[in-house]
Amino acid sequence: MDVPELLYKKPEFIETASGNKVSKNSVMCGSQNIILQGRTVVLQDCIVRGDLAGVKIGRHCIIGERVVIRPPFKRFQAGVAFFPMHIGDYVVIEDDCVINASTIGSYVHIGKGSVIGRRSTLKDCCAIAPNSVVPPETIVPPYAYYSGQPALYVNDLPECTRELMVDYAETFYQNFKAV
Amino acid sequence: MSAQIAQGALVCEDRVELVGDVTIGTRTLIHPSVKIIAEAGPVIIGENNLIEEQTVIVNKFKEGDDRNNIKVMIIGDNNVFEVGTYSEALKIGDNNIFECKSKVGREVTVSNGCIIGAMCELNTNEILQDNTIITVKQRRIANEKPQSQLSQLDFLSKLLTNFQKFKKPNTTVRT
Amino acid sequence: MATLIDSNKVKYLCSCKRLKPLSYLYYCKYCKPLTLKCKDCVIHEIDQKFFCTNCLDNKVQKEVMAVKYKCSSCFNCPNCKNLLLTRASSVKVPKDSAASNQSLEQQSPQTPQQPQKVYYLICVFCRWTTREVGIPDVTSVPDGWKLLENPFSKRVQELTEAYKVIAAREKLEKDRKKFPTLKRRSLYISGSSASSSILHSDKYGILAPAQKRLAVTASIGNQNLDPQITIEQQFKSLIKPAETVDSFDELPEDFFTKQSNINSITSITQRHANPDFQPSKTSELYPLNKFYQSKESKRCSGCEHNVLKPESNIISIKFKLHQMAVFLVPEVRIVTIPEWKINEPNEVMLSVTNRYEGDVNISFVNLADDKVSNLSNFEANARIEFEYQDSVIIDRQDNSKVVPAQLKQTDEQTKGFVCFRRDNKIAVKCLVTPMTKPTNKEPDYVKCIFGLKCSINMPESSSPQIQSSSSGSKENFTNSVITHHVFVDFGPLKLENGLKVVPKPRYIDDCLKTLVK
Repeated sequence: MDVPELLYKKPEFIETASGNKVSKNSVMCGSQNIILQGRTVVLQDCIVRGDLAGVKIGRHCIIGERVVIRPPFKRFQAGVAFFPMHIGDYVVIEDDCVINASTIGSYVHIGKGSVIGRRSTLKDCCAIAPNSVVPPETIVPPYAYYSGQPALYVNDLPECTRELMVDYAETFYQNFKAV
Repeated sequence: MSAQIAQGALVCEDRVELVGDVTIGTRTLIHPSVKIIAEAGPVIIGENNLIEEQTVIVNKFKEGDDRNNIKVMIIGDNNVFEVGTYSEALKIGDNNIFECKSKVGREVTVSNGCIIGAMCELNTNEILQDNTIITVKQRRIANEKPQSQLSQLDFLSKLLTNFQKFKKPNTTVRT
Repeated sequence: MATLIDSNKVKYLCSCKRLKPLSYLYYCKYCKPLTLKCKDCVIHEIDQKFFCTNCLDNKVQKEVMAVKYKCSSCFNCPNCKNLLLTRASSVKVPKDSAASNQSLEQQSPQTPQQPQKVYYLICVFCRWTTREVGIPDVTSVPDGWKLLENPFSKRVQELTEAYKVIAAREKLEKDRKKFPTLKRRSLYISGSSASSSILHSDKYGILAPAQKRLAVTASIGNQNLDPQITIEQQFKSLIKPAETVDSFDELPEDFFTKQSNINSITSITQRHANPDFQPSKTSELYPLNKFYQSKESKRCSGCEHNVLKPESNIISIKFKLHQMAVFLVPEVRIVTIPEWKINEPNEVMLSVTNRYEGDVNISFVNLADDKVSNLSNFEANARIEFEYQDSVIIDRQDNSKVVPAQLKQTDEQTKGFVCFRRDNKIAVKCLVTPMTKPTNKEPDYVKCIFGLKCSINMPESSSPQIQSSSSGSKENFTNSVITHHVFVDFGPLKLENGLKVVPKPRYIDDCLKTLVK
């Protein structure tokens, strides 16, 4: 199936100068700490907690509905600290996910309803199946497809994942039009 | 019947719905986008709890329940409700951790020190033993309580005062 | 990405007659004609560098073999196969080493106590800890967690060494039988008294490693060349035989009737994860080491040229050689799915994307169904028709500017066949007729086959030596025309269980309007 087309009502979304399209009813706490690099789409009812720590999201990302993006914390002997969160370019996060990862690489696809545990690292070009739970502090290597609860390695992604993700994210942004 | 927020409790203003007779103890922290609905009776939440985003705590009637019979939902101290939890349990003890997207049904009584794993659903009619760990495939009794989250709570309460607006407390601390 | 777009719907035929989605296929340009290769018909080669996915510790092959491919610092939980984390806790240990030998009760409260950090492993998902199994906490992390030694490993080692001796002797005897005379034998066996052996005169030094190997085996075999001692006798002299077990404990009477505690018994997957020991009780579970991994390069099975070669840097995701079919063959995807009517033509839209570095001329061909569907197990039960049979150009990708969706002049002549064009992508309209089976039963799925004839200007792929000599002059381009067989599975005939009709997207209508103007 080809990339779907998504139409939205113009007053529901804000379009910034760098081409980001952010839904108005998504909650962006601490918006001065949230950086969207450009042409990123944030759909309805998302919650991005920039008040806990800085959140940096790359270009051409697609963040689905009701996704919660929360920087992870680490408990030290001295106390607790929240770490800044980095999400790479061309990342597709589907609906209803909970992201507590510390780093998400570029060209990553996270399926619907999955939970990414705190301080986990998702390297470039990996994918997470829908409804999977990635436990805290896991490192997901490149070109791996993880699935299950806890998410374990299932099989590999094709080596052209990078080009296909670029194609998908760019086409999605072009097909995401105001009615 | 409005919510009674104790002195020292931090309830975010943004998108939090407190419906019905809800009592929130001191030093409890409630993040944005939380729904606490007291439909079938009052909900009493203890002290030092941490309730994260998209949590739904609801005291509602089951089908076939007597509408006049009001049941009180009591949640103890030092509990952590992570993102997306859904809880209908009438009695929850102390020091429990409900991980992301877990669901607890009405008939369960959660005692102390339990950990309900991510995406687990508990719909049985039972009283959980202390220190139970529940994951998708199995349940185990741990030897020790889970680590306390007080340090996180303190840190968060200092950090969030800079960014969030909070609802005003309207009762004094229960003695 | 196969995860994003349901790529199991459109499949291409590989040279080994298997059907695979286009993103999983490679191409070999040295094979004439150009062939598509899939994961199953390509030779996999493991790279020399090995790394642990968790700690990125890299090792060469020899080092890794010595450690049995196990990472010494990363562990998996035996309960749920997830990663184990090290957690520290401080325990009060008396400073005086003499005092620490006493039991805790005897120590007086005045002995100076020093807090010492001890480490234990904990699984973050199921909260299994090494403390539950009784493994003592470890004081220093890098050396701490030792591999459990199999109690039978010594015996196995004795046996393998004895077999090596026997094997060397057998090999010598075989060689002897081949060359009965001493003169011939001495040509090949070095280390013997024959000074005229070829191997002795090693003028250029190339036979040195072979000589070394021969010397080792000859020395082993020569030790016991006494023909009177047979092989069996020699073997018995090397190893003491295994002891037979005459009696063992009987099964207790209530073995089958006693209720066992399920929580204390391990599951089959937990046992198989540790094949050395296969613990049957949960109290015997031990942390599992993580294994080293390496990247793979792929080679064409026909001509042995490399098809895919990853970069040697572990962290890099790029490839030195990246011959994937996606970059050569235009990719067909389904855009709309109608509500199916049997035995009537239904309008369907397919999109074709060109990721080649130049323009591609394509045309759609109806195939004789029987011949092609015999090649694979694909039962085509629908007929697909294309109104326009001539070739259509798809441009190459232009990254320099944002190209709007606009149909060309040539598309007007197709009379609505090409209904969308943007940059390197077009959408075409076709008619699919699901047909009833000969038994008059309604078909469950709608599947069809067609041919995609592509004409590409490819540089001549001659052998590398010839290319280097003609560098500087223009590369010769040849026009190669290949017909790819495309197998499309539209899905179930009756749309239920959440499957919906996919309507024509608005961008196609917008594009058609540009033509009317």
